[in-house]
Amino acid sequence: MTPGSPIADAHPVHEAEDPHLAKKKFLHDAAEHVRDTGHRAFVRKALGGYYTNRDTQKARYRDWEQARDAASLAKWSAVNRLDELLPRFVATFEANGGKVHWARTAEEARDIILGLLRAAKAKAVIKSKCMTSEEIHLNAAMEQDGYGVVESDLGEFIQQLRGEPPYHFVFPCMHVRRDEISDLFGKHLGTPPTDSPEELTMIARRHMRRLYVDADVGITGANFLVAETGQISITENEGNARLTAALPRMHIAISGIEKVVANLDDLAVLLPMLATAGAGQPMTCYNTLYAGPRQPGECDGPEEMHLVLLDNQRTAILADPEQRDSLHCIRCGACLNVCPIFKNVGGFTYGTTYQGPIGSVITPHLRGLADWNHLSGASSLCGACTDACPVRIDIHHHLLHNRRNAAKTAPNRWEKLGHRLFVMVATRPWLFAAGGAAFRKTLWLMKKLRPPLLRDWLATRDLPAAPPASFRSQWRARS
Amino acid sequence: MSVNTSTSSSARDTILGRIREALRVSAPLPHMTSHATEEAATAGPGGLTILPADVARPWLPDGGNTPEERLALLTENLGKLRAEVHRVADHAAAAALVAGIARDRGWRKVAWHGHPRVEPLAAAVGCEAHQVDAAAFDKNALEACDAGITACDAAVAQTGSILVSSATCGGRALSILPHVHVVVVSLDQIVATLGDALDLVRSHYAGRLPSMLSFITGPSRTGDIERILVLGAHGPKELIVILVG
Amino acid sequence: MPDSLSEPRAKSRSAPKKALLPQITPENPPKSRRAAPFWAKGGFISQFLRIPFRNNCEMPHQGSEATWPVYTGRIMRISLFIPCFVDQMTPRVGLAVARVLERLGHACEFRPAQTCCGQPSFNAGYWDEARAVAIRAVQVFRGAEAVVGPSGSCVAMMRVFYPQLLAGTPHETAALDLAARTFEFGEFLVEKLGVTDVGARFPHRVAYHDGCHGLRELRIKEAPRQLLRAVKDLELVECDEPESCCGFGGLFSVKYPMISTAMAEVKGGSLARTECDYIVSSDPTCQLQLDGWLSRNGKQPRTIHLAEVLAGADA
Repeated sequence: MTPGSPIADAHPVHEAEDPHLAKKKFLHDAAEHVRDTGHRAFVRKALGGYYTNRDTQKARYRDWEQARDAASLAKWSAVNRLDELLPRFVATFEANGGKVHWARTAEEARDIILGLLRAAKAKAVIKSKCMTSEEIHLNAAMEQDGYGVVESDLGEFIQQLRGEPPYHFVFPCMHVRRDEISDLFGKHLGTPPTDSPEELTMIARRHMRRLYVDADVGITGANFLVAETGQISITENEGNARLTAALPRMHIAISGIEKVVANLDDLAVLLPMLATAGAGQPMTCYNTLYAGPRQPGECDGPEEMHLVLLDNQRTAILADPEQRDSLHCIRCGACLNVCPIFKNVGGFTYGTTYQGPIGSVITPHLRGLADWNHLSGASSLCGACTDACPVRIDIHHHLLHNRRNAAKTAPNRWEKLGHRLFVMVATRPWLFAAGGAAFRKTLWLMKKLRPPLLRDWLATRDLPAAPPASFRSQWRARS
Repeated sequence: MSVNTSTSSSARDTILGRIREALRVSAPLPHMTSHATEEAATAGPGGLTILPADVARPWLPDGGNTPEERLALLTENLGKLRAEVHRVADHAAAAALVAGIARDRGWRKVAWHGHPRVEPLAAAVGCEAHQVDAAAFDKNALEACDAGITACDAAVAQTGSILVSSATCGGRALSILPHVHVVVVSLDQIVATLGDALDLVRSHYAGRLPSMLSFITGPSRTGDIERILVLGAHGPKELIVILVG
Repeated sequence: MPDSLSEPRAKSRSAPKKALLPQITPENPPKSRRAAPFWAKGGFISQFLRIPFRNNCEMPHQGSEATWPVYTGRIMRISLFIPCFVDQMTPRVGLAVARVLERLGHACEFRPAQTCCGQPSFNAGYWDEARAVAIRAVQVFRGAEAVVGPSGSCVAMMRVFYPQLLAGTPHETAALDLAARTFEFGEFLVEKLGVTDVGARFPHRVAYHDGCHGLRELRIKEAPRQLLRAVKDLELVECDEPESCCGFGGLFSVKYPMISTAMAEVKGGSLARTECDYIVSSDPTCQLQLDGWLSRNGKQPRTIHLAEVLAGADA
């Protein structure tokens, strides 16, 4: 593999077919990715500007930390009053003329959307970026049913042409170099090669314009559902979501049930913070509130608006008060941008819809703890994610909670034995001292024998020689 | 509709049932750094859980205290967002300005909507002018326009955002489909913060919301290619803000 | 057309709501950390409402500042908390801690019944096992005036995680009591003893490496730097990844060795680029990781513990 080429080329990433292999695949892909230093440097460099911009924008807040308090409390009070706010949102939304569909599972959500497309006799579908649709594998289902669908977000469009899921749930193709994009466009759109990001963007722009005009159905996600007014809020930078919701005759939005906020005042806090934490902007370019289809007296807009509300295990997270705050997530991606694990293993290694720290927290709930707890293990618990989270989700401690839950429900026999032994030693000072002495005296030998674990350390790192005497013995000698 | 209604209503009941069941156990409050937030939270009408509407305002970016400050902040923020800002004395001057821009940039066709602030500009623009709300909406005609001229509902000093609505700004597409968006802002439309703008929405549209309200914060942009900023991803490449007054 | 929309409306907020807004005055600056030192936060809600506050990154909330000891200017008997790794692999760090504290006129004790804080099992998810170790540690340090350890990570285990681990057990009160008297070495000097200049000399260029537990669980950032700046002839520089993790993470370093090493490469590389003579740290296990990587890759600087610098290791 040439340096800097994305791992994904060699390993088209999709979910592990057999979930039991997820951990094996993770370890394999992580090792592969780590070896590709060119790619890691590329991702690090791409994120460089983010830190600068984020810090500039954070400095404009009169108190970022207290604004985080307010944002987290806004989400806390919404999620903990979901029983009251969600029905209120639905009632208001339907009063505005939209139609709500409830989906317990991904399959139900797909069926609802395919049913809507059939009823609308849709021929061309345009889609703006929506992670919930990735979660339910909507594109594959639509293609299977014969609907052509085009991703309109530039990054998602590039990923669609590459046949890959998003690498990062906010920056979908941040791992792709411009020359690869140029080749990709050349291959699929027949455009001449170019080295300019601007020109590449314009190629996509020109390609997409007709598609907006010709599409009969537009599919979007939703960032917030405002209970007070029955509006859905969509945050974006490119304008593709606005076009997707403006020109086709039907607008379908997909949203998790946890996206509800109480009122517009909460939105006034969350919108700027989403932009600042997620992309280092004061506000993203378009923050749009939709209240149903075209109203009487308006000159354009879809005739029908549908909203699919998805559970898909969110109520299981809700039922865990300890990790309920992971439903506060506004999908800004800040935790990915600061995560040393993400930056070193890349987005595909996770094998999940939601990458990075928040993905490692929620994926075990969405897909099963036994098969996905390795993601919670793959963390040094450094806590950079928790510090970056604009809504103060206790992300890195939840990784710890997942580890605890996994150790309780599906312990590894050898590991458990190891920890039992450790407790035996650590609760007996004489045994601890004797064991420590034995360890120190034989460390040179063990470095030669390289037992498991020590072998993993010594493969890439040196280990100092053990001192002749422990602290406790030196202290005894001293006094 | 082909979606089975009984499935849908049972899905609704299942989900709402799960939610009620889940919420029977309460979750800890988020960790907070400040006494101010805590105290404010307790003072909320429903007990401890609700923040009063305005409590976060002093912590968010400043929106300016006087009209002069707000104007200065708005202009500064729009500049940073790479919007083009012009200040003119009245609508006649605005019309002359837009006519000049149209000539300089070779616009052949502009789109506009029926609005007292927009009409004088469309009348003076000096090229073909397509009024989107005059007849049945024609997306092909709009797509062929070089620029769209709209009014706005408010301008937000705090973030440099322009609030447009489908009810008062020529529908959904006029401010997003043409390559250039020209927006006319009267100085008395400048508000300090997003919260203020949303308050206006709340009071003005009470009970009858337009189907779309959009905060436009600079020209369309993307960073999807190597995280390098490019203006004009799908929406307007240029945002021209004309401050009148 | 909404001309009324453009008229600036009188604000509809009622007066009592206004009063809730924090007034920003010179006495009351708009900074969150103004009201009380970080260990005294918590406010009154948690006391009345029985809703536990999420113990996200700071001390367990358990009362006002008045219940916390202030040690400045008093001779104390300090109980050394020597983490297992220090005991067996870097005893010189423990001795340096004692030397510094004693030089400041305090007495140090070492309770030999102590072993390990239990963090390896805790972080691996084996909380029942970790609990057994934690209960012992709580008992070992019972009655100590102050417990001071040279590792942000192990101190965070005692101060932040013991109260969680032992919540709802008969040992909860004792755990909270211990948490209130347990300090990381550098933090203890600056925040509790009010000392920044301990009279050390260290004529070298150094970069400080923040251990993540110290930085984010205990919120220690400035204290070690204040101490270093006061050391004679010492030049303190910052690396370009000051808040990045070294990748140690306990068992993580051997369960996911490739990721751990990649992280060491980022942090170690950043520290090496400062061209410092030494990397100063308050976490012996971060030192193990960084030294391990630097030495394997033939890079120059080596780590040294803050206590060793302050004890005048070079004198």
